[in-house]
Amino acid sequence: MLITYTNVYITEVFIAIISLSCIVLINHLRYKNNEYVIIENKTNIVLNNKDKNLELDDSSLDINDTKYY
Amino acid sequence: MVIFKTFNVVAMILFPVIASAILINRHKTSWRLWGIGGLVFIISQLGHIPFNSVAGKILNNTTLVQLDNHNQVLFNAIFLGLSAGIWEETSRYFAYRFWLKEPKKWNEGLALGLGHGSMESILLGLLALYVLLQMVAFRDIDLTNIIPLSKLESTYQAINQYWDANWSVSILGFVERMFTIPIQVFFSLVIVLIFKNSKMILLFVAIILHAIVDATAVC
Repeated sequence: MLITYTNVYITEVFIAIISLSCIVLINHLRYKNNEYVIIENKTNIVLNNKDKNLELDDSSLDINDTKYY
Repeated sequence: MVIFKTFNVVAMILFPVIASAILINRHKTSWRLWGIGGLVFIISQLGHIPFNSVAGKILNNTTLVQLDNHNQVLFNAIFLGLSAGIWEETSRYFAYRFWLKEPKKWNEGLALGLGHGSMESILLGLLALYVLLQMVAFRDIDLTNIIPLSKLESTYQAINQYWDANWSVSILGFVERMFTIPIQVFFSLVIVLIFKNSKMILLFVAIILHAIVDATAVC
């Protein structure tokens, strides 16, 4: 009986290790999957800041003025 | 001991539902996908269980029965592992492809995997409940009038073994299900990756990984 229990415990430990590895991989896949969304959100934040706070005055920009470039 | 065995049954049924509710809510996915994941598990077992039964009968009439005990266990582990991998992963693949029209999002794979693993846990929990009720009923009664004399000794042996098990063994069903659900979620995500990356080889990867996990349990 003791040997049988030991085998069962060893099996459970092995399954636990696989399970924990799977949790790591699930999170990795989540990051990979959401990578684009994160970049998209950052872009949105920049656009929102531009819209709300910066309010660039278009008249000050001279499209032919190349001295700064 | 009844307390631990009752806890085991209740936890096997309730834990996956509670864990799923938290994760579905947190990752903004749907119970519909969870239900489909559960149905896919049931459908896969409708093929898997009869297949194992028929294959077992056929293999018992071959020279494989002459293998020594160690090799028989090894053969069973590989055969049953591959059988589970092929039935469950191909069912998942065809259901996701034709029923769900190729899901590609991470949270969709999460809900499908949670449903798959939860349904497995709930059904095994109900099976454990059936065994518990039977064992409680058989514990203190005279079985000589119920069980055939030829099977009486082995029945008493099974009942004693059930009640003599220590607390940690009594809750192993729940512990195993708790560890298995993330594995099922990962397998579902691997199948979802097939549609995202158009790499059919991932189906074979899922089958082999599933076979390794199940073969370990058989050993």
